[in-house]
Amino acid sequence: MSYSTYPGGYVYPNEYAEPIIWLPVLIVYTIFISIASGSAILSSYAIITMRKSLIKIIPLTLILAVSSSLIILLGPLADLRHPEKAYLIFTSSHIVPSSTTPGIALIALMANLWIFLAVFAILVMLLFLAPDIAEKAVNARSRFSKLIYKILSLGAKPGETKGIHLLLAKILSYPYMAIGIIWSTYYAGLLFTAVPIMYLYNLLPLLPVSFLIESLIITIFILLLALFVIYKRNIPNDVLMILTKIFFGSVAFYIIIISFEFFRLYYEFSGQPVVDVIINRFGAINLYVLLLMILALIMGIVSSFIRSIYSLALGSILSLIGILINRWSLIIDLQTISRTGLGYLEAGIIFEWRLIGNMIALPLFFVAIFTVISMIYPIGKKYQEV
Amino acid sequence: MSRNSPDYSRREILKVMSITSLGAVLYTISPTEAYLIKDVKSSQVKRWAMYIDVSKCYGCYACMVACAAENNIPVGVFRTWIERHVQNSRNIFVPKQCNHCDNPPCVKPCPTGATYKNSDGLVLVNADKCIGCGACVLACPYGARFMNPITGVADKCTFCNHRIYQGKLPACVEACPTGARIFGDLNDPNSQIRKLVDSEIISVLKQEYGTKPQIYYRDLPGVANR
Repeated sequence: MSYSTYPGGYVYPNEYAEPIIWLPVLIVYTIFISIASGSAILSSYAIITMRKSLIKIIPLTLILAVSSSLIILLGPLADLRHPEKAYLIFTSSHIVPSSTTPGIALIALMANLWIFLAVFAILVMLLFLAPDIAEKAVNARSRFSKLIYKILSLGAKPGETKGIHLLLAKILSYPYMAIGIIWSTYYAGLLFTAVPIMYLYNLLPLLPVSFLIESLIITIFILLLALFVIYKRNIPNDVLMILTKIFFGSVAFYIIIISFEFFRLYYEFSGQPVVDVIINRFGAINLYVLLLMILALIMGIVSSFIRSIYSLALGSILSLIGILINRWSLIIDLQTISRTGLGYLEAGIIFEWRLIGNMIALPLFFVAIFTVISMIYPIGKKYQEV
Repeated sequence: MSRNSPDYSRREILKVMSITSLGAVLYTISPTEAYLIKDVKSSQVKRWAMYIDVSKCYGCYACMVACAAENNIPVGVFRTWIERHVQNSRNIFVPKQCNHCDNPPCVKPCPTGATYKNSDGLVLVNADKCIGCGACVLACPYGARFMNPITGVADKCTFCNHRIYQGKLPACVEACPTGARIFGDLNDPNSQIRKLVDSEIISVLKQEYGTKPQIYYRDLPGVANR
């Protein structure tokens, strides 16, 4: 809506000047939050349980976790008007309520928690993969790489399976998993605390749970992609089966959650003027997401029968598209609901090259870090041995 | 007590001692600190608020122009604006701005504490600490905040805090030709705003959000309170 199209005549609220405050780059940001937290949950679960089929994907999930954890805070940096002052989030954190600044800012709280996420990701990876690196140190040809591998091995013996390093990795995996779960629900919490229409009627109470499940689905997609790139089609059946199981369970649970939210919105809240605004905007989109997820679930079932990476990959792609649509409606469309209550605003997104550049730069940086770490750490080591 | 003994009671001695000690304490406080204490004490009893009589507003935009000129606001964004609504074929003009809420939803999501509430209840922005994340802009249910396109920080009405502490009125109040806007200290029982808020039928915007706004409207139409 613009000044001229507003039916009541001329009005001048600020939201017409800049309807979208958080730009599409934040969608990429939330995807990387999901990868970092999902891989943290999966890797720590695998280390704690040490299930045979999961052990094979631990090195890959650990490297994914470290590479994504290191870059996630760069997402909002691209969206800040004053990125040069971003350090104030750490040095002047609004995490202690006072009379002048009541409440706690979730952005500041999670930024501080990110330090723990990144540190735990690095520590767990260093400790768990220390014996493998020690082995690499023994076989290294040049003196320099021998020295580097020796430092990274943290004193572990080559190929040890029950050392202090693995025990420490297991102990650290518990808090690491907890931080991963908290971080996966971050953006849902941000919507609850920062978007008035969300905290008014608590319209989507299961949003944090759906973000948690989404993080697992997205991580499965990235894992499949990485496995496919690294090992082509030679992925053993047990790895494929465990990924199919996690994928199937996550998608099924996700369908239940969004169906519940969908029907709850319609039958419990429809008729209320304020809520109708959100229902009109979300209803149709949620239906598409639901359909895509059902298709993804069918692909998951097919994959478990015919044990094909292609059907699982197809299901994973469908679910990723569904999640992207959902994220777009939550991050971009939600902002176009007028805060002054005057209807919908025009999206007002101008696709500049700068925006697209920001959106591409983050994944590229992630791939670069992933490549560097995977050159040092042996991704396929445990995968091939077990 | 004998006649020759000094006729001071214990109470009098204690009184003299306490006055002397208090004097010594006050003497050690520097003039600046004494001023601050005085300022805090005086500010504690203030609660700046505004009363807007919608029936008196005829949409001349003088307040918007005065605000923009006083606060150097860029074109396209507004610290105060006037909405035009039509009810029963009649034009109704509703001035809106930051409500300086008692429970401000914009302060909580600010990650650096740049948005804060001062002791007089004004909700303000410390531009030096604002990183321009826009969380407060999204959090305000009144759409009163905006990202200043020139400075890149969150901006909003300050009740002209650079004027009111000099004993002047906010620019919009001073410019209003019909006296639709009344500004003052709600905690002062003799102030005009206190008397109006107590005597008139008033309403606030979006009460259901629990923000406790400090802009009180008279004759606010339902259509302007969505």
